[in-house]
Amino acid sequence: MQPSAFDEVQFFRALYHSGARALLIGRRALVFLGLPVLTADYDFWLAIDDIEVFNAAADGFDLHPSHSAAEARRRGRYVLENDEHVDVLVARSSTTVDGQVVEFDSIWARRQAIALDDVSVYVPSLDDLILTKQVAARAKDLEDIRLLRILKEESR
Amino acid sequence: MIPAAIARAINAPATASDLRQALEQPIDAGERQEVLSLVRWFTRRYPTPADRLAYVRQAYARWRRAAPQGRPASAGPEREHERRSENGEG
Repeated sequence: MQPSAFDEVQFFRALYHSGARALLIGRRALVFLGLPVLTADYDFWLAIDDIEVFNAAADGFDLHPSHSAAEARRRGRYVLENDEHVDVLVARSSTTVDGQVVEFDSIWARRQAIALDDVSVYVPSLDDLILTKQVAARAKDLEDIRLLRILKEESR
Repeated sequence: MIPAAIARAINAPATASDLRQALEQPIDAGERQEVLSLVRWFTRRYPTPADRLAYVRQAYARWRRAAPQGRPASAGPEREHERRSENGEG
């Protein structure tokens, strides 16, 4: 199967111009940082007040939300999809498997901006990206944590 | 499709003990060098984030074509490294 016609650079450009406070997390963030990992999906952690503007930007790419904004706020996550799949976390905070509370506002404040053409894509700091991996904490997240540790040590 | 057993394994929830090990276990020089070598290759060959996004999108599609059917669950860098070696890229 060929990649769809989805223009992901334009997608990131639209998200940037929407003004939504959206952090790219998950494996695509690792790709931005230079790690050649494969992934099918996009994962964002979005400010809970910015669902509407984020969805409006995604709507231009025929990405449709699985839940209304009100439902998404209640559930803490939702999905945007067509033949692309965008997981969106909208919780004010999440808890790692070892009980650390990770607050969106804190990691947003420490975010790093990565230039993508004429816009920026925001990803958590390396330490915070490692923290986000501890929330889901699946086997593949543990693998990613080791990759991120190596990047972090190299960047010192 | 990636066999269900493998998909289950890579998506299996880790225990707090597994997590502690991933966070604290020393990373040996061989693993570090392999990962850094991949990063150097990737960022040299695909110097911009846009290049990297496009590469991953194409690599995913290629991988999906190679799979008998369905959607692969995940792949780590070591698998990409093997593919590069097979294709003489680097």
